[in-house]
Amino acid sequence: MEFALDFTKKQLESIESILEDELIDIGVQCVVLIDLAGNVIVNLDNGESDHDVYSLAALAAANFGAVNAMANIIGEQEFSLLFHKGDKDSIHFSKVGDDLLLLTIFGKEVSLGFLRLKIAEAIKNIQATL
Amino acid sequence: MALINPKKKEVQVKIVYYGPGRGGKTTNLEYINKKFKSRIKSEMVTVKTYNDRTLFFDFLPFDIGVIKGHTIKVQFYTVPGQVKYNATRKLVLRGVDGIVFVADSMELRREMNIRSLQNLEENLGSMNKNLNKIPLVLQYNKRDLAKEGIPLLSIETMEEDLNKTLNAPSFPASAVVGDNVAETMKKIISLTVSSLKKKLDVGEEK
Amino acid sequence: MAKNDEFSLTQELDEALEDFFSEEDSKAMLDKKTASAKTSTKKNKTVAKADDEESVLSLDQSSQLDVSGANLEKIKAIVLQLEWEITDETMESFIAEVEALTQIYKGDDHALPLLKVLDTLSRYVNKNKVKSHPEAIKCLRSVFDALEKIFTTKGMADKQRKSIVDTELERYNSLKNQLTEKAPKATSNIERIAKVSGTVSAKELKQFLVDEIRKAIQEEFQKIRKELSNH
Repeated sequence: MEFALDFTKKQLESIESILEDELIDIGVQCVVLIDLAGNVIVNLDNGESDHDVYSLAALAAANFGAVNAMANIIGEQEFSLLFHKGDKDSIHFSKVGDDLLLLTIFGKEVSLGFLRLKIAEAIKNIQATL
Repeated sequence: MALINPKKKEVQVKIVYYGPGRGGKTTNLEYINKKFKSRIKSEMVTVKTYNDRTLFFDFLPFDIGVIKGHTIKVQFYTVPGQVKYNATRKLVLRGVDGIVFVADSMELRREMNIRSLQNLEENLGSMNKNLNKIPLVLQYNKRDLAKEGIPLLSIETMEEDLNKTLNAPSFPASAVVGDNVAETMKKIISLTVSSLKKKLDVGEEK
Repeated sequence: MAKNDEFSLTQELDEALEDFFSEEDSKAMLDKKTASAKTSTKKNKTVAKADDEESVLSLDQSSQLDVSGANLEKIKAIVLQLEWEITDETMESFIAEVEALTQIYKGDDHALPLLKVLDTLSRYVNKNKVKSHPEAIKCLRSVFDALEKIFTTKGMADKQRKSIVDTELERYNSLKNQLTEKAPKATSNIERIAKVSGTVSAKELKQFLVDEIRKAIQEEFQKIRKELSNH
């Protein structure tokens, strides 16, 4: 599998504005769009988080690969809901197209159900820019 | 594939340390992480099993500075060397830009080195990549063991076994002591970033 | 020309690598860094919202209390389901359960206003889905928690009940105000949605809203595009 992903400045800017409007604005702490090799494409936060997004991206990409491999073993193409719940903060993973992954870090004041609606909307809009 | 962010003027380069199990890949990164701690801003990430073997990978990212107007972020990964972890190795190799093959100089490990290099070639092949074309540096690790009377392969033998057709730059080294560890890394960064020249030029215009 | 280029890259690269891997100052810098690292230990970010926390807690606690009525059990399951996924189906069953509870508690002065709020909010979320105000979901949850508390806490004084209900109504009203305040920025007619949401005329308004938002987004994008092409 090889990636041929190059982003123009314009694309990055529209992706950022989509993520800002759909996710940061509803109270999400941090969003990171990465590729499956673990590269960070876009990262945004609400100004209150200072996570090491590069390490997070490397681990998330590998984790996603591992979870996908598990899915295949039990005969699933992939799992549609990937979510880790913490005491205060949680992470939600979502595939964007074939090659990208969107990580969303949010506190418990954000409803997962609503977040998932927002993420689906953001992904739809991001795909339109690619 | 290196990722260029024209907005942030940033390039992310992925370099993977590959080689047989217990060959010293993690030690290489640990040495660099310790020695150049002051310039490495993030923590090294390791995913290990209970007996301290690399389960998934180690991850060490740092910026080497601005080149052609772009901040170069190099991200080093190691793969788990044990044969059974091939699926994980393939995952880590995804999008690789440059490779350091860390071979074990112990005589006992001769076969394992050769097999691991073959495995690397196969895995790259499955991603339509060619070991002959990708930036590559070989490191013959554990040279320090000679002092302890442990029989080592000669550099000539290792070159003959591993580097005959590849003709890649190679270094005898000792990751534990730190001999040639930085040199190996400098070389692979240099080769990898140079190979991105075309992309950087385009990025500069954007 | 191309050669020069190559030269400059190699030179820049060599310099960067020399700098990074240079021996001399790495120790000095190391000392400096450990010193600074000590002072900059990661700060604990506690952005928790106290009132929210409490309301969430109350659900957990009250779930251990004995829950009265199968309807409440059912609606609670739906609320939990909504936490995971907001779909037409779950929203509709939520609305239906609220209706059923409203029938049961017709004469209850405390429960009825809360049920009414739940009804309005759930219809609003059902209609607007992803376009809903994020506060709406939080409010819905909080009102439900309050309702559950009232139903399940035995021997609660009337005064306490009233205070719980008042808090929730206040919260709801502030949301309503937010919706109407926020509205003129996008379109002067949006404020009507807050007043009429849940009634039939909201249908037309919804379409109107969607169109307006679409228009606003398109305009924004056009602006961005223009700006970009100017650079």
